Amino acid sequence: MKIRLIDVNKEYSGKEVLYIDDLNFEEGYVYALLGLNGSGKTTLLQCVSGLDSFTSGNVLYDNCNFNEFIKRDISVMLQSPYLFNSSVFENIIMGLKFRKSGKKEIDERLDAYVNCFNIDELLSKNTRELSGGEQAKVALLRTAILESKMTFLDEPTASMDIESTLRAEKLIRTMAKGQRSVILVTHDLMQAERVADYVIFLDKGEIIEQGLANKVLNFPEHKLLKQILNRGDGNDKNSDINY
Amino acid sequence: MSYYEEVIHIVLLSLFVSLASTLIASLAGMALAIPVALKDFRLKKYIVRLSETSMSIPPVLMGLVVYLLLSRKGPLGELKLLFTPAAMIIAQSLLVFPIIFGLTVSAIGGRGREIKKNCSALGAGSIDTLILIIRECKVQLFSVVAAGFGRAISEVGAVMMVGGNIKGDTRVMTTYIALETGQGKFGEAITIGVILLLVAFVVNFILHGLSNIDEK
Amino acid sequence: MLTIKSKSGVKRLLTILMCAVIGITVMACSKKERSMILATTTSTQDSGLLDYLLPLFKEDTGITVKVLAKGTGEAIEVAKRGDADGLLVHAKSQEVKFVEEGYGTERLEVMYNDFIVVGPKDDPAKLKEKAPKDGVEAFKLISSSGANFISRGDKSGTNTKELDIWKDAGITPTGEWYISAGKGMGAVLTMASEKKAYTLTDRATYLNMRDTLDLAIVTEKGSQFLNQYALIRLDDSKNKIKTKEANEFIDWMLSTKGQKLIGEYGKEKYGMPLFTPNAN
Repeated sequence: MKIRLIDVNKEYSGKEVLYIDDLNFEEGYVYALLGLNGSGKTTLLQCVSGLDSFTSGNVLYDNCNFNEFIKRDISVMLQSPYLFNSSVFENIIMGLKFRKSGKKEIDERLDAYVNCFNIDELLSKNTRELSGGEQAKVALLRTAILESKMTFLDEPTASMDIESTLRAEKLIRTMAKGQRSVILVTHDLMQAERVADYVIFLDKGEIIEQGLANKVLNFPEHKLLKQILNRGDGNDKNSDINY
Repeated sequence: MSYYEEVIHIVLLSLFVSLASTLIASLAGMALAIPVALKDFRLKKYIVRLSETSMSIPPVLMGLVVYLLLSRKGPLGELKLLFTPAAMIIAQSLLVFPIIFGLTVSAIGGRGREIKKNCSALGAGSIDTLILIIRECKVQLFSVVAAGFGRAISEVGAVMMVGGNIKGDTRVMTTYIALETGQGKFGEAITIGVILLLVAFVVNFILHGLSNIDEK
Repeated sequence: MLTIKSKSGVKRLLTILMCAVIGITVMACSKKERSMILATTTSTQDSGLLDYLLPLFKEDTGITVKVLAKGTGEAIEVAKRGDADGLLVHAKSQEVKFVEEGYGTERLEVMYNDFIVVGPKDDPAKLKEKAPKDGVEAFKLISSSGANFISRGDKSGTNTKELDIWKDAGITPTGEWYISAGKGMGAVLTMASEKKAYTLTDRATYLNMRDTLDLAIVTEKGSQFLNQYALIRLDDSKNKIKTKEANEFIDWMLSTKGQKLIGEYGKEKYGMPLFTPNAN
């Protein structure tokens, strides 16, 4: 799905927290939204995905305004996702049921995705019995299984261990193919380098630099970025940013 | 009618009136409360405050209002509802409604909005979202219904006024207890009082069971 | 694969709710028998006469009489508003006024009984000794001794009679000993028993409750103690009421059979009839 933001801003109680003049998302790529806390990453993600709305400006999805059909082609994994009080299985297929998928299709999709994380034994467990990492895996799966044209992920691997994180990143890369794209918010610069094709750096509600991940992260142009990326021992890219 | 026939009639009528009014108040109350709980709008604060105040309406006052409405000289007199169980159900539904409304708004509250957001994130439509919110908050919602039922089954002022405490017709457990106590028949009053507590216990037990339906 | 069952729980619940709603509606609509509402006084109800008569009336006519037992004042108000189809009270002056004001077309006397004064068994004001058959004298004794007296205080027939006697005695009852209860006859008798006080009551209610009370008859059969009951035929041009049923009830109560039954009530249980029929 192609998304285009034109002259958009977001205000809370009259105070502007986000302004973007022109931003494009093309098909088939993973975009990482980066920035310090409070830079507006989550706000941007929520507004573009349709969970919240911009105060002014225009957003075009495949050249259309946001509508019910566009909504069906979008899925989001929130920062602290709410898992429903039922089995892992129920949670993972929840989105498919919303889209009224048939039993056959559900079974096929589940088969395809359940092996991403080895959670076969967890399928019948109630989500309340899971650890934080396991819950994050379930949340990611229930979003990924929808194979949406645009998937938004807000810090999906924050509670995962290293092995799960790497598996998750592998999964995320498969989610950006053909017409499908991924917009990812992350604090982890290394993750951004591993997973993203393009990065967009936000600071105080504005884009300070964007471009190919490799280039921006290794050869930043903006003064602030140079500071952030070169702090500490000079070559250490992820020193203070990795929480 | 014999004493036992009278007791059975009183108990069944109490159950009928209280369950019916709780059901009506719950359907209406929750239907209105859930949307209010999920949205943020300017009048929200005032509506919540209004419902909190309404929870404290004295039942006898509600009884008076309904009496005047249903009296043959009143605006709804043509319906001939005064001194019937229907009048009692109307009065009790009006009393229980604000309780259901207010407590549902609290119960759904922040959690409901979180669920709504997550449902939206997965592409759910309004009906699917609503069903899911009710499912996830099932336990709290059932205790709200139980609270509403408690108010209904124990109420005596309004049902006395609009029902008339007519023997064999609109006499319920609470009005019976009031009547028998006034006549010094304490034994009969206490018996019905104990039955009332048992009935309340059983209903709450059933509600608790229902709230755990399809829970593994 | 596991079966999909997340929505079945809610569906099951909704089915139960639907059945309940249908059940309630069916119950509400199934009562199609003939009925009427009779507004009367608490003492009439508490005497047990209606519990005895009304099932017999239903046998003969198929009409269920729903008894709305209030104080005379309230019963009359209910009848004025058209919320009752029939009126049976025992306060002549109020009844006459009711008919004069056009709410009723006729006042029909149906039966009478008598009032008595009851009090604590030890009778501190010595009514049984000094005024066994004189109501006015009895009241004077109560007032001068300062013994507790409970008044109905509710404009009922009994209350009206009580105030008339005070008037005849030339006394305005005030003071801590005079307690105005604002309750029905049964409740007032219970209170008098609790507080060891005197009170004026109709014989029927007292006899019906005798076993639960700690009171004894101290004054009776005085000339002031006649308690006349009357049925009022309500004017159906003022309010929409069940005229047909109401008339059947009046006719039955005044009929030979009805009057005979009234005269027999109480004989078995108390050894004497509680009411004397006197329809013309």
